[in-house]
Amino acid sequence: MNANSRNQCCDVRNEAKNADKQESTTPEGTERTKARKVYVPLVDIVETGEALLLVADMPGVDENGIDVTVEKNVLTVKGVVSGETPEGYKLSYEEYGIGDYERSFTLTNEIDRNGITATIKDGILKLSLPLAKEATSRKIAVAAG
Amino acid sequence: MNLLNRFGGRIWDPWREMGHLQHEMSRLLADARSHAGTVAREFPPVNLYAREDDLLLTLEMSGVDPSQVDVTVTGDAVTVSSERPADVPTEGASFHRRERPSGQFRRSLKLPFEVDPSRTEAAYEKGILRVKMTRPETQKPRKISVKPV
Repeated sequence: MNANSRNQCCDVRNEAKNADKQESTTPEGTERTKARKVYVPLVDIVETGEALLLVADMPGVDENGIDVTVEKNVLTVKGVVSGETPEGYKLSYEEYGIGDYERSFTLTNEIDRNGITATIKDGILKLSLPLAKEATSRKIAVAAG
Repeated sequence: MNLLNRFGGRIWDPWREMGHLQHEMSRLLADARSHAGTVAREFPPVNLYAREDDLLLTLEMSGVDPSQVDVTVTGDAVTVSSERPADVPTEGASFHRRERPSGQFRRSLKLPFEVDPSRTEAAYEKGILRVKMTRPETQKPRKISVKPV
């Protein structure tokens, strides 16, 4: 298999930086229907021999609030965070904002879409994207005409 | 706007131009800010909530083993330390992206008032640590009633 083409396996729609929590963007001139902040979760994407492993930090999300979809060649992870300022308390110092999570990745055909599995524990989403057994690139023999 | 539109067609609208310029400027500034992102973000980020006699500290630290978390309270300071595993195989694997911080961490914060260490509770759920602290009985503000002479 071609290692170079694999490296383009996941292309990221919303670039996350290692600074503060980044807010997710919407196409210019559009807005979300919910007046709630949406952040881009930080991810690690690592390729092992047989799968692409995607690990996303989504503190505050559990199995009831997670949504993973693959539509055409776009993989989207969404996480809903429940919980605002606790009852009776006032925010006195803030380093992180509370909001939902959303991030999308484009997949290549090398991923076996039917074999994708996901688990979430302690606010960490783990996705396993198995690489398709057959390399999709075929060599075409060119005959002299 | 109406005055301008009455002429029909696309004409130069200084307000729209200014709007574009403003949008472009804020985009550039936002870009510059995020690239200056080497301003190390402290891990984990914390929020502190307060009410009259209680404090609630929340820390976004997903993927930490709760039995490995140390919470220390002394007077008006709290320290939380632990270690976050990388969670991904590092040997024989190639990284496409590595954005998540991992390793040992320690955060200390000064609190707005002294708290009672024996009444401090910590719970870890969905990757968020919540530390609830309470003001000691002896330090509670007392209301002094004023008697007429």
